[in-house]
Amino acid sequence: MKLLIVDDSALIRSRIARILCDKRMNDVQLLGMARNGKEAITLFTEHEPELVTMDITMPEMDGVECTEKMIEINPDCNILVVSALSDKATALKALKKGARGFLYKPFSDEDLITAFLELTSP
Amino acid sequence: MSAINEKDILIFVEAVSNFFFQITQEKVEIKTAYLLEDDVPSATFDLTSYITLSGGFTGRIYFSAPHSMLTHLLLVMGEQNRSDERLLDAAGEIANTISGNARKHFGETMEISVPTSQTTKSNWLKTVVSPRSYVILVKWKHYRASVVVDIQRAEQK
Amino acid sequence: MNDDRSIFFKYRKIVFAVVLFMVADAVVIGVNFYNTYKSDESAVSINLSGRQRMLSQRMTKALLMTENSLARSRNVATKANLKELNLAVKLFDTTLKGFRDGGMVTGGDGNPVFLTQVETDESRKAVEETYEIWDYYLGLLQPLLSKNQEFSEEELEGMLEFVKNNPDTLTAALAFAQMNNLKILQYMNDLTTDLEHVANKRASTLRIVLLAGIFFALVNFAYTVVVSIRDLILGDHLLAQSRKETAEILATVREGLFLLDKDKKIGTQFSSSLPDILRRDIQPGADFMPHLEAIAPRSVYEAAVDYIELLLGDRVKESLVTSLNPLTDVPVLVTDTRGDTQTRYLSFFFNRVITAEQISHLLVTVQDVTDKAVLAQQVEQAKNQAKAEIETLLRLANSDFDTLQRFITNVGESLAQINAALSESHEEARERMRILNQIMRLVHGIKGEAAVLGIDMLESYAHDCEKEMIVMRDDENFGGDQMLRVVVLLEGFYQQHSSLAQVVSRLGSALGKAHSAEREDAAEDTPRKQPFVDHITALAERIAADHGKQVKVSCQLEKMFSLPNTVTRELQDISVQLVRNALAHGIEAPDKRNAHNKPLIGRLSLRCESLGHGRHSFTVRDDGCGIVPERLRKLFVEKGFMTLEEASALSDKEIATRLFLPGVSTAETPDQDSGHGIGLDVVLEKVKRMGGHMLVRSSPDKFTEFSIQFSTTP
Repeated sequence: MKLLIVDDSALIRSRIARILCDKRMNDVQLLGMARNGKEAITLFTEHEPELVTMDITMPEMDGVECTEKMIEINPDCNILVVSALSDKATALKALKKGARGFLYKPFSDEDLITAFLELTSP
Repeated sequence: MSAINEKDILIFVEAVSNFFFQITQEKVEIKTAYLLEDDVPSATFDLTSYITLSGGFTGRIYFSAPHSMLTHLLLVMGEQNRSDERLLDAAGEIANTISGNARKHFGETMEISVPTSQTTKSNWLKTVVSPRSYVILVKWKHYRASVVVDIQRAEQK
Repeated sequence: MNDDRSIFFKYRKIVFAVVLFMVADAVVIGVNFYNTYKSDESAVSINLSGRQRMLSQRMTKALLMTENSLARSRNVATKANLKELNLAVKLFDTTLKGFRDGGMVTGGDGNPVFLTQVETDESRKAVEETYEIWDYYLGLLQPLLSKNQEFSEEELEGMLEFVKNNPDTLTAALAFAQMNNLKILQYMNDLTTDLEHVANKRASTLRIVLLAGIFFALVNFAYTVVVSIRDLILGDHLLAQSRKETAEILATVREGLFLLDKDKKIGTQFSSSLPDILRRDIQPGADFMPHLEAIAPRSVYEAAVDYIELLLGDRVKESLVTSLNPLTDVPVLVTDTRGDTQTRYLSFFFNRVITAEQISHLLVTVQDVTDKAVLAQQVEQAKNQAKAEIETLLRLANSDFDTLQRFITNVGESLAQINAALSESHEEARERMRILNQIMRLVHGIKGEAAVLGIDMLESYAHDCEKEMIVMRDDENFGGDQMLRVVVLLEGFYQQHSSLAQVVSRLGSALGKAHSAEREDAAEDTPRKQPFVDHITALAERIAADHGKQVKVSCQLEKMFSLPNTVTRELQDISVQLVRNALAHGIEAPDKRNAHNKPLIGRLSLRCESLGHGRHSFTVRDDGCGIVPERLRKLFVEKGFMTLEEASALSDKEIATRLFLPGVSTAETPDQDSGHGIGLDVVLEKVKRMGGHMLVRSSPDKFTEFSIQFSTTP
């Protein structure tokens, strides 16, 4: 399972990486981390990840637009929106563009793992 | 928390209003409302009737009206006998209507006394009610009368 | 989970009956087939044993005919008779062998058939006893028989010669035949009878088997029918029961329950509480979305459309989106039975219903959570209030005590004035409106003073009152009933006031100033400059921060505090209002200032000067956007204060004058500091009361200056 992490916070990026790339998780391979939508699209096109964690509010290109672009490139991609925004409508927009799930920040290790397992289950 | 609100007060005024409307087809109109304090009109008229509440609320509701208004009322009702006694009866009847409405609004747990009616001097209400009781000045035809609400919500556990 | 298995399980009895029926059928058919086969065999046996009788006769007859024809020397006939004898003997012999050992024999039609060995004792006995005679008989006949059964002319001639030469052989055979023919006949007859008997027995067995089979099939059929009907009846009963249960659940459950199909239509069955909770008339099969649209706030409704569509689609994971349900604790406006609209709080929960691995419906649960929400709000409110009270207390502790006491006295006086205004009888709506405006000015005054002292509790209460009264003022049907509301608000004000007075008095005793109230009257209480400058600066900065603006305040107010106390107090009130105005309307936000090449921090100055001859001026100036008549015209038209024609008809000066009328505001959205159209009219009234007049100077995007000129020598 190839993973791409998109978040403008370095802290969140490294946290997600630490939790999901744990040895106990089956074979999650971190392809890269992007600080904004633009970087994310570049990495996405290059490496074709199967799983993306996506922040919403980011500079350059926000998560909604980024999700839309990714789904255009690969409609089968699993995108998990991970955001702190209190505005549910914006999160719903990202889901409408094709993301499969949503996780509130802040989250616990367990929250993220549960969401990951749910997302990757058939 | 404020003890009572305008909806509660309106219940009492509506009772008076309905009473007049049923008998005379003429509604009673609220002219104004204020708090009974030293430097405002005392809202006391010639005849006053009141009921005492206990239960959810405790206190009294007063209805005070001038001679002339109650006489006019008896006239409209076709009542020949318009003695003071009869006028006090009429005031008591209005207070009774108020208590009926109060019971409907606040529930059966509220205990309400039978009305007490008496002739009253100009400043009487100010001497008996708690400071800052609500005065609602009403008008029927060209007469003024008052409903004075002096109740507190009983302390809750 | 496994539907196939459960279906099998459900119909297991019927399936069992059907299987049993098929097995039984197979058995019966098998038995039948076997018996038919056996019957064929029996038929052959019976047929052939009958033929044996005939053959023994034929043999005797052939012997007799041979003797006869020989005696008459008829050679051709003798040869034919010998051949006939041979054929009969041969056929009899093989058939008898067949009966004894089983084997192929020539059938009645000349074709070979298989003859089964006899099975019963009787048959065997008949065959064996026949053999006892036949062995000897065949021995006697042997010389007369052909070796190869070809019956060629030479052989027949040979046989004829043999008989002619050995007539004794024929005589002996004939004698034996005549003696034993009847016996053989009898044995063969026994055999036939016995074979027939066996066949009959078999036939009757078959009949019994068939009858048993039919009987069994009937029983099985009856069982199937009974079981199925019973199960069906039971099923119907269970179904009816479960329907009844469903109906009961739907009738009694307090939550609104319904199914939403892919077209977002409400299912045919829903809980009876649903229309009550939604306070709407719900028809089965109705579109859900228009109902939701009618009650939910626009933004929530739009988010809900997205959310419901996501759940009905199969892209998102249900468990990973439930946190985004926008329909939790939704405030909805509903109309109750008395026709009053009220806000209630509803929560909608959506769960996917999966049928055959497809999302077929959403199960929707609706709860009225008003009580919970109201409680939460009250807790929040109580928290805020407690916080505000503590903040107030902390500020009070830091405030100038005398100022506080004066404030409390002032508020008390204002409230008394409000009550007095209320107690005046007012006949006309216009009169009432005048009184309301008067009350609003008093409330606004209290708000201003509370703001200066940082008494949030009272300030926000005054603000709330103001907001409500603005609604009343704009209400065409403003009458006695609304006055009731005003008086209730007033009572609330009194309560706030008295609790504040208590706090201040306690604070006073704590500070050892318990008697300062009396002192206030005795010793001339003088407003002091420094506390005021501090307060006004703090107020300006706070308002600026609330609006995302920055401000620097400069004061030259020494003169002001040398004026008579009454004048100073009025000027203090006026400055609060003008400072509010300057920050709400004048000074711009930093980005806008930047665009105009102005310093990012706005400047606000308050100045009090002597003009000589007992005349003074008090000036509040800001370096904001200025009062621009053209902008005001546009704004007034937008806000509906006047029509475009009216606005164009007014001169620049007239337009600016409108700012001083009650109810006129230029703020975009009303807040605590502006937008209610109360303010400049209050200022103007105060100025008039002081016997002064006001000058307004302004330059677009540069400054605005309010200057009051008044005289202190009456």
